Amino acid sequence: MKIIENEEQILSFLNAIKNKPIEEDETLFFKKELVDVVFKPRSKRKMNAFCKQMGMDVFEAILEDLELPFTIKTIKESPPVYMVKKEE
Amino acid sequence: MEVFVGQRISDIITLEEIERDWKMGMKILVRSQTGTGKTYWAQNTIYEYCKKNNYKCLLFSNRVVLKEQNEKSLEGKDDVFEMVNYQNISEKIYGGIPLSDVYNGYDVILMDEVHFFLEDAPFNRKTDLLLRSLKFIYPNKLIILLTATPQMLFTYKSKYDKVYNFPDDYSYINKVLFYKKDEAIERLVSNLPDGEKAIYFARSAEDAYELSKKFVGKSSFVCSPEKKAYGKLSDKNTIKQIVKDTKFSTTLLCSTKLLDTGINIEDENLKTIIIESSDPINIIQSVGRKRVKNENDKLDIYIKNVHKGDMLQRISECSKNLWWARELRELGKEEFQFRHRKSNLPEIIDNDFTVNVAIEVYYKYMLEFYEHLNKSDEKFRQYFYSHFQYIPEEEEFAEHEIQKPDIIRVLEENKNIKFFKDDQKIIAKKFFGVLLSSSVANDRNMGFNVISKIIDNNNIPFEIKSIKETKGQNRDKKYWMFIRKQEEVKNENN
Repeated sequence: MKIIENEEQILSFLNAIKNKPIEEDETLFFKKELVDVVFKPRSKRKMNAFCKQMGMDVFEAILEDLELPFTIKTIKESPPVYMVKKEE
Repeated sequence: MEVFVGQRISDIITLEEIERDWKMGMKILVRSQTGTGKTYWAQNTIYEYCKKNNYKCLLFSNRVVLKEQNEKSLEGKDDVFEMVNYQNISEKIYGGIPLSDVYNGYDVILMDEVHFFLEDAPFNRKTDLLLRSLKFIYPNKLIILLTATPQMLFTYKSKYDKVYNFPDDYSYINKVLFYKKDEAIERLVSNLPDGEKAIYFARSAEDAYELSKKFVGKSSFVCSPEKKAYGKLSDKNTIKQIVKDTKFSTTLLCSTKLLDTGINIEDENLKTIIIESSDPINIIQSVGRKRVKNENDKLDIYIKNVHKGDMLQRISECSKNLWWARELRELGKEEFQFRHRKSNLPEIIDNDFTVNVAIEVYYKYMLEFYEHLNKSDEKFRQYFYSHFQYIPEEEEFAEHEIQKPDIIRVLEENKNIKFFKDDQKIIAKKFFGVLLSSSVANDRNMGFNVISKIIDNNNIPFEIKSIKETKGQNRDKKYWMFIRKQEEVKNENN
């Protein structure tokens, strides 16, 4: 089991957002919120750049590497719509 | 006349319109950005108009390269068109040929990129010799002025007989970012995805050449062949290629003002234009070099930021120059010569002790521009966001965007090293330190998946591999290794 800092906040965010569609224009907001709770970056500008440059697969991998029971599913392609799902 | 976005010049200024509304003796100003079919209109409508009336047209260009591109596109139409450079004609007038003689034999004078008179004035003292054409009346000639940036022309002469204003369409601009330090340019160029190209418009030939040297093998340098010293280093083949194919073959083209107006680059791989200038007209013109081929053809623009200190310096420079012009006018020639007999005179004062009007108008316009922007640091950036119809999500500088070279540096420093469990946490922390400056320890938990995805997402020429050790005290334990792609790494396991 990994020791995750700030775990409560991360889980609270993921539980709040789960099962709700994340439309294309909301993805940047989602990415930033996730990065903010997971990494607490000192530089908001670096965070913005990171979120803008990285595809959703990077954020899926973050959840995977933290061994959190959540996944990000693509529920619609072009324009993409995502959804955070809790693993049973 | 009301003109809408997307309408081309030939849709609006038809032969019928010309024949109905234009009269000899008029001065017509057409303001339209690149890509609105200016050349097509000249090739067809103006050609037809001249042909029908048995007119001859003198077509001015402001750059050698533009003249050559115009010559190529108007091939076979030399029964109507004669192409000249403003510079050559200025030299003739300077040599004593009267302006009226220059225009003699022509009925239509078509001045392409006419902002040249004022925009080039600070480094070409002879532009004012032709500038006077705009105020003189030529009852038997039609003068057509074409430009995307007429701002300074209005400072010189506020009224024209007819003005066509074609609205700008900058929907092809993907983003407008500003950079603070010159090092950002290098990082930006290193960061270009494979296959993409960039143009760097430098403030000086030296800056352009220096950057091209840093990317030997994938860059080319061009400047005016007449430029002292650097002119000899200018890549003639690249210029030829631009004239012939409206393309360049290197990844990075480092240019001076030689290519800043009129010429077209039609290349979907040109995705980035970097501009080191504080002159709004120069910036707008530089951006206009890309000719968009379809709606997916987008462009990123990077402009050197001008902060308040720079602005004050520019205001001071403009004010000083304008002071000299006022001083000469107020004192008169003789008193001025006496009072300033030991002073170093600026170029705004010609050697016959008259004011160079083109330089004066240039500084007047620039002073007005900088004084307007001087009210706040953000104004310079906001001016261009607004001009290029770009709404930034939040104001960011290019320095904050460019991280790829940093990631490559970390990977390069740690390539071909075996990272077992504890070391993996250290390298993950280092890797994410570059990307995010995390303030919690979760970056140490980031593993193989995330790092691998980030490398893929950024098209970085490395891969991370997870390999099982086959011998020694770490036998059967897995380690990570960063391997540069296409690099043969002889691994004990392979």
